[in-house]
Amino acid sequence: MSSVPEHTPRLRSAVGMMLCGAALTAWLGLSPAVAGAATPSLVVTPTAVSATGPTTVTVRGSDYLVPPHAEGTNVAGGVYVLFGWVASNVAWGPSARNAVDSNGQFGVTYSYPGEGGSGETRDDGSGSNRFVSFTNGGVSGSSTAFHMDAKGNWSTTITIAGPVYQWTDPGTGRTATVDCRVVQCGIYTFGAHGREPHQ
Amino acid sequence: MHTAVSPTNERCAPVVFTGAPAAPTTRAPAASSNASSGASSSSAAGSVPSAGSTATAGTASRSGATTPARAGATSGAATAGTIATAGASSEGTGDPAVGAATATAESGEAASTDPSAPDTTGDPTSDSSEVGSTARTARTGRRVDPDEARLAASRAGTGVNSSTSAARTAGWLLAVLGTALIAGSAVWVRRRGATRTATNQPTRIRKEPTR
Repeated sequence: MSSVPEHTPRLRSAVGMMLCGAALTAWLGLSPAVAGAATPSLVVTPTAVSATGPTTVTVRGSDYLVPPHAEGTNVAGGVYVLFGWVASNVAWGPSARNAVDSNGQFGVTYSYPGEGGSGETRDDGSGSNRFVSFTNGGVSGSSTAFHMDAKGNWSTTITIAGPVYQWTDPGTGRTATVDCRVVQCGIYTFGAHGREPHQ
Repeated sequence: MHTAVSPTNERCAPVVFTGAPAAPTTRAPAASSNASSGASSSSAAGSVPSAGSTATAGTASRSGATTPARAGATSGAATAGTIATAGASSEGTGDPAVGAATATAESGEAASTDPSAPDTTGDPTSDSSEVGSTARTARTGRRVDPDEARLAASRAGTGVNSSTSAARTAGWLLAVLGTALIAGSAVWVRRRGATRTATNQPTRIRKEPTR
């Protein structure tokens, strides 16, 4: 996903896929066989959504990294599944935060509708975003209906309200509007504690 | 708030919106902050700019835009009255964001939305902070080349050309009507004068000499 210049939805899709390199290779079934570690993949169906109204898409994750744990026990955490925008060609995810640049900052390298960082924004009940827990029990597992299996496979749905959304950074008060007909948006995931309220 | 469990689980998959192309005049909800401008381009990448955005990812240059700014400014210089049309989606409404971005996307030309915005594009014409700069001149409509204005407006899809044409046509019609009115008035006055002359002739009573 990126805001690369493009002139047609199809081209934008193609470019977006290229920029989501890992996702693309996985999507095409070309996941490299790395010993001991599969590359997670994320698939959205359908990829074409309505620009005039809400669309519910199915999101499937495969081979996500699950913290080691004994069978039958639960671990805290999981991933957030969100609709929004992420920067291309940079480490956009929260894990990329550092003291040198703005990578991994909400509103800078990624954004999603609502107030970034708030639990309400990522309310699992709204359908606009989801929390998928590593295991189906414990603090995290009991707070959502969506869980990964032992191999890191999971599935959920996301409702995309439309092509335009607004976000607010509660830390700075900064707000912005994103038009996904102009920039490349999509579904993305990043790690989560998974404690109430999904933070 | 966001826990970085592992970058491995940070994945993305694109979606594409279909069914309604982004229109230049489309307004995003509560896009007030967008009027801020070109800062956009590099700020909050991927988003339509907001005030005080910090420059980063640089991917949103498409949402910035000199195009609308030029369209608004130059059209005013080109033809009086067209600025309202051309600038409607930019300065006119104070909400250039979506329109600007769209226009840019369509034209493939990056730019800054508001001439008064800080120059983040490296284009001096977008920086009004420079006294006497091209941007300022453009806003006052003094040194703008009409052809360039029309070209820019055309690129921006603001329809300045059609407005100019319409204005020209209206001017011709007014001229023709005015001429006809004046000619008609002249004829009427002449006829009325003639009639008056004829009817106001004093009746001459011929006095027959008494015999």
